[in-house]
Amino acid sequence: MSQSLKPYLTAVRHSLNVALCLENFSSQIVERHNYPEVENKKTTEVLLNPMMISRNENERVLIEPSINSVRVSIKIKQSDEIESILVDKFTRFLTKRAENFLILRRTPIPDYDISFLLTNYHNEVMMKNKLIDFIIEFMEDVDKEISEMKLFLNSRARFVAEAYLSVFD
Amino acid sequence: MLQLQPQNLLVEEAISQAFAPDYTPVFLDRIITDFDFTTYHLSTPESKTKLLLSISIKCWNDLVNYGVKELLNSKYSKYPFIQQTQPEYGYDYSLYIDVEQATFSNEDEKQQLIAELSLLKRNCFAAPFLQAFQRYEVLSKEQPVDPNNLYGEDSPNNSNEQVLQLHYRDMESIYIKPSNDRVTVIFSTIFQDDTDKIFSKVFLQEFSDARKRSIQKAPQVINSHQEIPLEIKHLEAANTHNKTYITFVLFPRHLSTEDVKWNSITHIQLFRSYFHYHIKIVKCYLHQRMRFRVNSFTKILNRARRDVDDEEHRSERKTASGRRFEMRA
Amino acid sequence: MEDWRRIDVDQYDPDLQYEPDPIDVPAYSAQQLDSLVTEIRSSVSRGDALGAIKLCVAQPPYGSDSAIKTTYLQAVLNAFISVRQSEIPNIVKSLDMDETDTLVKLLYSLMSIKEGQKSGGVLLGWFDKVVEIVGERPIVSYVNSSLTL
Repeated sequence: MSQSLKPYLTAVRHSLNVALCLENFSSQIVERHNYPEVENKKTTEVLLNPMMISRNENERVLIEPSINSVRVSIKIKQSDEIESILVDKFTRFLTKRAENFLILRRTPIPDYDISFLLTNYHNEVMMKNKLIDFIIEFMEDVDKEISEMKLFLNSRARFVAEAYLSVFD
Repeated sequence: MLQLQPQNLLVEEAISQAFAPDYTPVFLDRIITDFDFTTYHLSTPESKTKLLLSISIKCWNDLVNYGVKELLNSKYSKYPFIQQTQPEYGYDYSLYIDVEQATFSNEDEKQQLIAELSLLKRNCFAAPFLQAFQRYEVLSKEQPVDPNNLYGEDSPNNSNEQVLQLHYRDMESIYIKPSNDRVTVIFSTIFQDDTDKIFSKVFLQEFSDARKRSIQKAPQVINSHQEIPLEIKHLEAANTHNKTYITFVLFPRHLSTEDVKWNSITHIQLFRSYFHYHIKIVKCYLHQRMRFRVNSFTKILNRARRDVDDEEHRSERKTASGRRFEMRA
Repeated sequence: MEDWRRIDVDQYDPDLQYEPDPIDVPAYSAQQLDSLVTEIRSSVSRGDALGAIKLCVAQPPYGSDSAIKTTYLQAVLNAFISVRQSEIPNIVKSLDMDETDTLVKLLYSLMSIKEGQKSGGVLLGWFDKVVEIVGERPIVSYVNSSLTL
């Protein structure tokens, strides 16, 4: 694990731990409705200060807590064209399967690659610490996956090129 | 399957069946497609023992200019039972094969004919290459290679040399330019998909690096991405459709003997298909990989569920003596 | 004109439910800020890390406009960067509760601006140490605080 990854992940872990303190909260605006307050942002008194945790300019997490929901948005590192394509493909792949993922938001919020929306319901059916573990593990694995895919692409390209050219003699 | 096969598998199969000793003649009418908008038509119009093999190629008119008919004539006229007939309607070239009359002195000869017939497309595409190779031989005699030309620059006398063009797909072309110490083959290709385009950069980089790194015998590959190479600057006014240009430089070692020449032709004309094919493969693999990843993420998330955990927990609840509680329904 | 169906009519509601309580927040004019910033800078150059940090967390300009806040945060960032990794635990230990709360608040604010993101590693180092020493209390106080930078 690289030097700055560990503090980054611990910071996210603690911030999430604080943010994931949710309760059922009916809408104050429309009767008998129950919105994730962080999504409609109409009832300002139940919104808490957003937390932005940045490792560097290209990698950051935005945690927006509210009384009954937390929105976690992740910006994944993209150092070149290939990586941004891979990140784009990967996140698109994930969001298309959002129904399996419960907590995944179908579209990321602007400037971020992927967003999770955790509501009090999720907090009821799932264990908070495991939920946090999931997000941390996700962040770790995505980086790993992207760099592995990039390496694969390069080595495959090399292999293919050599296979083609070695036939000439 | 790493390499694409130059012959057409279906044509090969049909013909080798027809030439097999225990062949029972059947009525055939097959349309078979190949790369680069090539279509074969295999039929038995008159009797079941007479096969008509027709081919249609998008750039046939270009090929005719470069002497494809003479080449095919030299390939197939030596077999008395094959007639080169008037091309079938809608096709460019037809061969009429009388299976009953076919006689072979040995098995090898038969296999060779089957191979030649299934390589019909390659043979057609070979015409301009062969013409360029001939021109190269003439040029190299006229003007021997200057040993002082350390940088391998193309000599200025060659810049007026005619460039052979093949418009083998809608917007994509092959250009072949002979000179006194090399034959330059330039492909222009288009990527429908932006992702493909970016992946292609990685691939092309490796193509050009491979020679420097390990395979010195290979032709030199130069990728100029969007820029029109100098050799064909006078033919292409502007890069209108975001084409990618790839240049292969075939050196004398690739043109030395007849076998080597054919080998080079066979491979180089498959380049575009090979290139696009492998980009698709990589995308496919990455897709599979992502699918797997998504599954593993779902598993991690499911671990967080309470109900799952409750069940696990229940199954682990035991009495002091180690017995399990049985749930009464 | 934009799509009128999408206009949020609630925002024109005369009796909006929530009005922030008027709170007395420390505000600085540009001049006062200048003197504070120079003070922080001189502490840093003297090598008095603890003093510099104490000055940073004493009275941040919560009520000032964003330009002043940015200048202030820039000065704080410099102070944070100047402290050696090994000194951080001692400094954190010698801060009282309110001061650590403010420290974490400053860290979050810094991480959300471009300048701070460039040295995200340093800030995360600080964050890590604070949480290690005092726990998550400052984070809770940050999310609930109405005083923001």
